[in-house]
Amino acid sequence: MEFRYSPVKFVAGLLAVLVGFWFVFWEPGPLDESPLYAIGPLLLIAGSVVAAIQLSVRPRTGLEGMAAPAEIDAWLALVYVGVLIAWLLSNASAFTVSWMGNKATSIALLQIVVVYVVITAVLRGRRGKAVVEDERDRAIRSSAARWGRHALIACVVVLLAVLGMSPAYKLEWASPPTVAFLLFLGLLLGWLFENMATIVYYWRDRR
Amino acid sequence: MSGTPIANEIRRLRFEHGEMTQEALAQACGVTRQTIIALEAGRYAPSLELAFRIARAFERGVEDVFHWEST
Repeated sequence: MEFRYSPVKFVAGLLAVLVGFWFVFWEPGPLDESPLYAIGPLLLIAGSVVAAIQLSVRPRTGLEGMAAPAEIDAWLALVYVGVLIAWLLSNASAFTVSWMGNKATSIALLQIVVVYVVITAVLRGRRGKAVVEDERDRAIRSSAARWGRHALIACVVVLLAVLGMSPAYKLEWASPPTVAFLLFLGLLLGWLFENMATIVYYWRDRR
Repeated sequence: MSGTPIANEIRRLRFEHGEMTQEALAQACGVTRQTIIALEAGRYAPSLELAFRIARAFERGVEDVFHWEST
């Protein structure tokens, strides 16, 4: 099937993704027990597929013509990790008890991973055999990874200091699931910093 | 990654080669178009291997394409 680029469909897809994100991650409460609960995942997946297809048939001008493929990937990862961190922070209380059996949380996390994988697969398909990374991209990735590593080390050091130096009575909040949650958050923050640094390096490189 | 004392003649050589596009040169050298843009703008110093690839694409020697720009 051949698709033609339509800005209206592209924007509609992005809007559906935004609304889908909202339903999946922040507003399932009143719809939780009704069939309408499926609207979030449906919007998220359908919107992502429509937007990704439109992106794949879009003429290579504008941002895509200007930005390196690795930079576009960094933007994509930044958005998804940012949404994931925002959602985790706004639902932090759900992670202070054992994560096992927390169905809604597991489904939400799975959805974001599936959507991210679908979009990256469509982008990979669009690029075909074109070069997506060269020595300059690798140099930028290596420098950006250093920032990500430093952010992760900073998170772990802060956690070590808090857990190791606080008196026991002040650590009642530090249950194993909570510490696991903070470590997971540290990993994501490291990845977020890495993608932010990647984008900044590309931006500086264009100036 | 920005500012390099290595200047180059890539833009001129592209035009002398039938107005070769940045995309065509990028494909010939196995890099992205954005790297060719950065090279032409003097913001990126290529590895020795890439310098040779670019020179070969223009059928020239490396020193015909790249030269040290003393300040």
